[in-house]
Amino acid sequence: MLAYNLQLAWLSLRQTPGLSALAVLAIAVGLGILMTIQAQSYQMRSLPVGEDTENIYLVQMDNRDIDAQNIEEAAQLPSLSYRDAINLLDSDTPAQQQTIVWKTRGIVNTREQDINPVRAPAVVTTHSFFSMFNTPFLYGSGWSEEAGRRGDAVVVITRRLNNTLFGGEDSVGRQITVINAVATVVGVLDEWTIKSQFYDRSFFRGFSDDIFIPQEFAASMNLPRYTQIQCAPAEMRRMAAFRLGDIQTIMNSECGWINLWAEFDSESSVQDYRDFMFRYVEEQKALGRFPREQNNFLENIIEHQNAALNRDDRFKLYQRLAWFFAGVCLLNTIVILLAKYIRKTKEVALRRALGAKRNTLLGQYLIELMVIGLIGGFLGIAVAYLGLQGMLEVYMYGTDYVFPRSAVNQLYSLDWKLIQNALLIGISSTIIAGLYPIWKVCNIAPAPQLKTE
Amino acid sequence: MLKMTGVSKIYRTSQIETHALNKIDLQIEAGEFITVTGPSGSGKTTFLNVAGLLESFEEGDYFLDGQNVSGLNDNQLSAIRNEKIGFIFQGFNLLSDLPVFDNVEVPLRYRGFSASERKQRIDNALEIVGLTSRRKHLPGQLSGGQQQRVAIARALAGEPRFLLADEPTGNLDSSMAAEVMELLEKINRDGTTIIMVTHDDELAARASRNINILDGRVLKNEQPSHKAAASVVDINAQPQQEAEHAGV
Repeated sequence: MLAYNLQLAWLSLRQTPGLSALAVLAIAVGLGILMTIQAQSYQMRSLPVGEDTENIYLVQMDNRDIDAQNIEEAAQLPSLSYRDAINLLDSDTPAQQQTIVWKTRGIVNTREQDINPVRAPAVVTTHSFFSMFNTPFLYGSGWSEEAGRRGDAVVVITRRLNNTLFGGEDSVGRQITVINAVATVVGVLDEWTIKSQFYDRSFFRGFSDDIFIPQEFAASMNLPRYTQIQCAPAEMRRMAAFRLGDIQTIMNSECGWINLWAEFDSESSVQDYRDFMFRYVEEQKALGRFPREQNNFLENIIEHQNAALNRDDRFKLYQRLAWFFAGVCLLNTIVILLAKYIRKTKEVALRRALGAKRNTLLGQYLIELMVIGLIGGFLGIAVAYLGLQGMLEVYMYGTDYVFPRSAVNQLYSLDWKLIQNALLIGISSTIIAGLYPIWKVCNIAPAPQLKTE
Repeated sequence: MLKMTGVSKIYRTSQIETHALNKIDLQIEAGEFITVTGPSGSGKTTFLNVAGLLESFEEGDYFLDGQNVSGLNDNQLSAIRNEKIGFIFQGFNLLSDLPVFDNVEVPLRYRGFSASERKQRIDNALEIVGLTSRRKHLPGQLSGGQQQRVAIARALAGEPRFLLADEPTGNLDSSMAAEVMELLEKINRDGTTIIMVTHDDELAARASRNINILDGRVLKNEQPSHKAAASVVDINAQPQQEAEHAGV
């Protein structure tokens, strides 16, 4: 019976080609627009970096003034002060490994006369950054723990910067000037595909940094702090000094500006670390710091990623518009299918007279709806692909093409799971849209329809 | 075989009640060829629809093959239509996108026959109506008479006990009408009970019995006079009595 119903479905599509095409088109457009947005949401809500990084957590402790506003979400809490970040980094904690991150930027140059200096964003971090986030290396490697502690003048650069400065050659051992500091390249990252720049909590799509600088070296060279700095209102007037003055100024402050990431090998370690944070804050309270009630957060990358997406008002607007358009398309589909199936009343009446049960006919038309939904689903996937390419173009244009297409391409792509979902949504929404029309036509009294007009 | 007792069909709107059938009492035996006549709006087609289980009725009892169909649900009625009743319509009602073979196959599909059994039955039915060579033609490629023969083949393929025909020759010219009528008579001779609505007195006279309906009541229920004399069939007196009982 299934093969027979499929054959009838195909015949029915050919009987009303215009209405069938309109129904397919309405499904395809609605689904395509919805999937364009949902694909981005799905990609953004998955781990921004390799699967084995889900055990990496951001460490946050509320050291703000007593009269500061209450904060209940980790995303709103400032990063750690230098003092706390370094204290935790240097402590024997339940974490497998830890790293810190803050940002700087400046002019980068080589000693080659024919290479123009470039302005490059940079990450100040520790040696463990590369192992925690599984960064791929094209040449060399990250710096050693000892080199980091000594404050050696070493850097890791990206493949992109290596192409610009060294024409893509193996530049390990070559020297570059970062702002006012001369440093030796110890490693060149290969193409690092991450969905968003999670490590500095910006969650910008793609990856735009060019250099990785050891913390001790950056501090010794007093590199500027072009990073998110959050201070008590009374200290805000010193922001220029915090950013560009002596780095000791901000290091001695209670301002939050350092992101501390910790990796764990088990759930129990995470809990142990929470206990450890509690004890640490209690100790600090005894020293006169942390005036507020304890408010610590230890949330993993994906939780922060989702929170960032939930804060993105423009994306939320896109989502609402997508659902609105999908709804409009669904309503259109209902009307189109109603028109299509009303034309079938005579055929339904005849089949009923010949012995078809109402449920048999409902089943026949459900299969036809599935065929329409399937075709609409496939077309919707094509529309979504075009939509995503369009959104990618808009994003690239909006960010002045600062990073290559490959850096954000993944966020604007469809995978098998999304394709499968699109087909399921296509079929189910067509069934929803067509249920009333086919129910109505299958319940029409057959006798009057069989009279010759 | 088909017995109606006090069957009434009422169409209701917010303001009017129309008695399309008014306490119909009649009985039709196996193998009869019944014609139903009467002026337009008299209730002939309603009678045929009720008899064919396409319409429900408000009052009375209706026994088909000894089974009271009054309280059956929609699925049960569909199954009886499929197994016991064949329909022939004035407008043929063929599915225009399906070839002849597939049109005849429709009721057999709902019966759940295997492919080989369907094929055998379709071949037999098409042979009876003389359209074996047209099995792959679409209805639009056939004449009116041929289309009606396809409809008859479709009705016959399931080997029903009854053929219900609503003015089957109404859309045909006289020669095609004669062909179709001869075919129906042959089918009847082979044992199928036929109930045919017609406006044509000449065709009505060829039946074994004529039921004349007016205002939803049976006005006459009798064997045509020319057949009565030569009849070998003992016409049951009961229908006449019932007609009288109905106020005729």
